[in-house]
Amino acid sequence: MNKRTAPHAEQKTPADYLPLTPAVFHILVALGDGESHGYAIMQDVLARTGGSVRLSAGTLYGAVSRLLGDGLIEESEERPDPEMDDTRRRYYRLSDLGSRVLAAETNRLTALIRSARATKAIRKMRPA
Amino acid sequence: MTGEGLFNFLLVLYPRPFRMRFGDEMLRLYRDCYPNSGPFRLWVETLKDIAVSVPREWRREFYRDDSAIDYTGLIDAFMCTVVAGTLLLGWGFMGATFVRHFGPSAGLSFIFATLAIASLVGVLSTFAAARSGRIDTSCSLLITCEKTTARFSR
Repeated sequence: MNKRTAPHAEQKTPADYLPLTPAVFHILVALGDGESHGYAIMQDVLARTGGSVRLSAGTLYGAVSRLLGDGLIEESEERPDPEMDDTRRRYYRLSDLGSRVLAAETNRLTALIRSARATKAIRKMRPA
Repeated sequence: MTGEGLFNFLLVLYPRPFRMRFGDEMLRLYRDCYPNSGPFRLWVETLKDIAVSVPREWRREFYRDDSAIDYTGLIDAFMCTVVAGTLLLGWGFMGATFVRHFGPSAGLSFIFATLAIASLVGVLSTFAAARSGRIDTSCSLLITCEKTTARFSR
């Protein structure tokens, strides 16, 4: 099993990585259910956002590169189904730090949405 | 050139370390996306993505502590431009001089056009080979020029 973690990753707390960019957040969410490869991440993001967010190759792998560098994700050599899969695909999974950062960002966004829902403008639009 | 070949060619725009690490995966992603998206839509999205992500990756590469920007390659590019420009100007000047002295001739025009095209193709091939790594950077144009000069000045 191959683990690549940035040497300085342990020195930072999850709060230091917030707020996450939309692309990074979507990738971390896609990896939240288990390890995945680039195309599967792209499809997952597309499905979760109802087709409104499409990560192209440059954006996806630029974010993956930063996430690997920050130690939020790791590369895995394990393949869910080696016989059916292309050996050139690389699989990624959340690291412990990545899971904590995802949880922290989810909490931050939840608090933000709760706060937005409490405003008069949103309460006025709620169905009776 | 096929769409895949063109995409592979455009990957050259990314910094070398990024390309070496993610180039194959990006190509694989393009192959996976191709059947599901129409070629027009895929290319519009790809070009938009390249326009945004290439400058971003170069900026990241430039500010990285262990940056590996191939300055030799950039110097090669500059030198190739100078050499190609000089050759083309030289052939053009000689062609114009010959035409002025001997009058316009289809044969002369053909010879000088061929020489100019051959010079351009030669320089571009050298540049492409240097950038693709088929020519070791120790044989780069600038270093070769320095070595040649040193040999003659001995």
